[in-house]
Amino acid sequence: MQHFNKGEEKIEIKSEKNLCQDCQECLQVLYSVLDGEADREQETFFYGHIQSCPHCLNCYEVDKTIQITIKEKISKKEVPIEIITFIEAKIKEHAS
Amino acid sequence: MSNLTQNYSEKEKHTIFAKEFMPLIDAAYNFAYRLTLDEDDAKDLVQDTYLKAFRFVDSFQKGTNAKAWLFKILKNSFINDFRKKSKQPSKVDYQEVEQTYNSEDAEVRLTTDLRVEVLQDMIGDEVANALNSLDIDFRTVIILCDIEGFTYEEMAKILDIPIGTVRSRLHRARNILKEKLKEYVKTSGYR
Repeated sequence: MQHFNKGEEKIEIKSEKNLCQDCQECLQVLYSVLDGEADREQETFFYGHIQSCPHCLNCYEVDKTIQITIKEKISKKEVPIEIITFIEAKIKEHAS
Repeated sequence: MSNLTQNYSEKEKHTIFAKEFMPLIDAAYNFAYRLTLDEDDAKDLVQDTYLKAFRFVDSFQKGTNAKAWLFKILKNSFINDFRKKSKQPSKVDYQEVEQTYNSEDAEVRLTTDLRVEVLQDMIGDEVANALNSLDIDFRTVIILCDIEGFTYEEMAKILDIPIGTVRSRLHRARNILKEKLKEYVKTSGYR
């Protein structure tokens, strides 16, 4: 059974390990699952598979950690106040 | 995003600008900084984007996604006007990278010797450096997806590319980022 959506580009999975069909399909949908883009059927298959496959579970955990690290640890810059002042002044000019 | 053109009154234009676009200025500035990697360039890019947003506000439909609309203007301003004069030109030719990763010889490595505990110990600057070292097109999809939380459909609209390309570009971007993080782990004594 194919667990990726019709019409989507199939991502070629290559690996240093020989992967079985289920692992190939699991890794196909890994990013869709992480990004909240997988449908229910894909999620059920994915979470079912990683429960019994340490290799795919490890791939999932590494990718999930990277995603969380990017979101939470990369510092946000505060917008310089002069940008806001400049934009508001320009817009006001337009109004007058 | 819509082709429909509105005909807002001056008052409505100012209200939309103040209520829909100005609250997004922090996100827009951070996106601009992640693209340009320079505070002065980011400032110019955001100012430029907001003035364009006001000028073209009639093409924004109330009730649609203001952030995606604004980010699309910002991304286009960056590509069309800004990239040429940016102090940080793209270091890698994107076509070349895509060809490399599309070629039969290229191995898209999904199994990884990165360890979760090592990644968890990394500090923000280290992850930011790895991300910033990616080619601009790869960096952009990771920023839009992982930092800004856009859906694939929204990203496709912002970037003017099909959803399938969003998916495959994101996939390649993450694989390259993992390689960068792996190199970083090797050279910095993490183990």
